[in-house]
Amino acid sequence: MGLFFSKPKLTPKPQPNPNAQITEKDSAILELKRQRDRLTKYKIQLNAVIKRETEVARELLLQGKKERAVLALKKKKFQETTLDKTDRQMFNIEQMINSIEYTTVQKQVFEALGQGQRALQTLLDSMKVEDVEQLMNDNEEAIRQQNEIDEMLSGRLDETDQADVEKQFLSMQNELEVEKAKSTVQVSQPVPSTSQNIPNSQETPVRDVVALL
Amino acid sequence: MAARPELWDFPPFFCLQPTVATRRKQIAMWTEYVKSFSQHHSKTCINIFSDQDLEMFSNSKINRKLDKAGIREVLNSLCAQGFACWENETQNICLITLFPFSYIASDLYKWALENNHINSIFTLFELQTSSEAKTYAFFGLHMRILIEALKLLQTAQKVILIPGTTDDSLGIKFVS
Repeated sequence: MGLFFSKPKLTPKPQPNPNAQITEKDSAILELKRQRDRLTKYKIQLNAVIKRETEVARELLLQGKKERAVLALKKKKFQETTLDKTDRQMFNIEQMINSIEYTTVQKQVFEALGQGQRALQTLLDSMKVEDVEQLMNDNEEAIRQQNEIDEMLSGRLDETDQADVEKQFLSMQNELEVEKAKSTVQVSQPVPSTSQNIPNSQETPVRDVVALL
Repeated sequence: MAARPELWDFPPFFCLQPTVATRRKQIAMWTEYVKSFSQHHSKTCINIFSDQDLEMFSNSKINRKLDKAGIREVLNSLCAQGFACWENETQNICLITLFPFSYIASDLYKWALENNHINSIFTLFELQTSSEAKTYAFFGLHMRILIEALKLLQTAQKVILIPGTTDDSLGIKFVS
């Protein structure tokens, strides 16, 4: 409760609130709602009359006064048709109120879309096609320069590492040959005398490697 | 049974005291009693000229009752506290609420917030009878009480009131 009813220490300058005005739409809806209220009260009245007439008709019938009972029922019927008409009018009023509110929502959506579109346009304007082209060209130029420098530097490096690379290549080649020879020798020799054969199979490839170097 | 004040069986309690300080205390005790009595018996209005209503102001055991001037003062004090209001200018019928007007006002605004009715316009009849408002404090309350609560909201600038030809055609717009 203190939220609404305590005075703040520094009252800020009141901003003009557009929603704090009564617009035409508000007056229209208010008038429609007032009319609807009047119809609701009228309906209550009619319902009371209908109930009364039914009771009167029943009483008259009990007393045997048939014509008067029929008359009371006719009056009741008339009230019921008026009630129907009132219901229909209320329905029309409700529809009108709903249409007004729906159209307000639609208008708000439309305004929001317009605002979004304008924001998008502003962003695109700040990013012109020519500027982007220029940027891409500058980028290509920079990449080209980078590649040149790279090549120049990598060329010098190649000369110093060439011998190293060749040595590594040869040693790898030899390793692979050793493994290949080992697998073929093992396959050709018979199984029982494995202990004798293994040193033999190992020796030959080593002698070959030494011969190559 | 409503909590009877301590001095219920004390005859001077039923006579408006001349001394200011004593009178203040007396009126305070009476207002508390009226509040709890109304709550207990769900009384929403007190008609000064109705004998039935006047029973609560009389103690038959000591054969004393508070006179009309005293009743008026008690009820005026209740109005000042925000728990009651007079139905009309003649001040014959006083309407009493369970909750103070400030609470009803907050509840009205809470209803508007929770059901997204800010910036929508309503009639007082609608507010009083709307089925949406069943769980809220202000549902089904007397028009005059609702109007008092709405006036509070108007001073707090939470609502704009558009008077119509009758009490219940009052237009109400909730603003943020």
